[in-house]
Amino acid sequence: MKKIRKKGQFKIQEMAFVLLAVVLLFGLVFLFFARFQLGQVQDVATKTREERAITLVRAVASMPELRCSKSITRIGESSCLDLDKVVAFHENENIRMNYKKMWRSSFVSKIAVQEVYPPGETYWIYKEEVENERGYAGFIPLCSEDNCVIARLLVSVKTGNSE
Amino acid sequence: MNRINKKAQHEMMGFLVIVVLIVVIGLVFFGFSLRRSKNVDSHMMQTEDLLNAMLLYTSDCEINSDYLSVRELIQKCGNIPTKKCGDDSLVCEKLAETSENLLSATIGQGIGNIENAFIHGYFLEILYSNEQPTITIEKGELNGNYFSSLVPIPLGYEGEAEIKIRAFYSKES
Repeated sequence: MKKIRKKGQFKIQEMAFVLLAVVLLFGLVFLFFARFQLGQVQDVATKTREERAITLVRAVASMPELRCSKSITRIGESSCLDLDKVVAFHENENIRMNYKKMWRSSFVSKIAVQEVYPPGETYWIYKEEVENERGYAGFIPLCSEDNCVIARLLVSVKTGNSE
Repeated sequence: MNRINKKAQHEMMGFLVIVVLIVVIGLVFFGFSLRRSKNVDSHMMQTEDLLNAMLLYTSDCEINSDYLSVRELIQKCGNIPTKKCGDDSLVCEKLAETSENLLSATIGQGIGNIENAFIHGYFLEILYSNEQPTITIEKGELNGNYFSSLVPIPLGYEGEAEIKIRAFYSKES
């Protein structure tokens, strides 16, 4: 009789350990799944912001405040930046601050125009120091009255942890 | 005998559960590894942007105290190939030289160190519908996948020109 009871206790103990192990295993799987999902959500958010940065490069290039006038390009409507307007943004902080709200609402942290061919100045359209950001650059002509150079329009957007 | 059979069935069930769990976890890892793909959209747009920017670039070819853009050089080279710039070089020569220097300074920067460059080679072609010979510029390794961009340029009565760029970005063909 004692032997049977001991065997029963042993079986219950064994079952308890097995159940504990199963719960732990499923807990680990759930943790991994949750972490994976979180990572995916962050990836999607970063990708969306990156795509927005790419769109913003085009949007910034077509802003009347920066775009060059028809008279400069000689061929009419074209996507290029006016050097004088860019310099005005770079040198006047008040102008930059007027657009702060708009850039912040689009998660933009930096916008710069960098002369690449021939290499030259870097002009800041907007600059905000953040910890995590990701940038996108597109080539664009930067034109003055009688001369166009190749510039890189850089747009950085805040990523996940910087908010 | 019956008891032994039941025990064996239990063992088999346990083994099956473990196998199923391992397969599920393995599939999750496999799916995760498949999701990591390179984002090539931004580079494709950069190539397109570069071609459009290039056409507006002002070259150092001066004709009648006016500096010509690359677009104007393409048109001059197609219409009057014997035309010379202020420094006595032919417009077609100037076009090839300007295009080569420009590409080298922009997307060609990483080509000296191929392992680290996303775009490891490029090929630019300026084609004319008339008898004017094609201008080609190439650098780096021209294999693998590529982005391609093309801009047609009207030459007036002389037909049409096309400027085409291919930027190679993946060595696996």
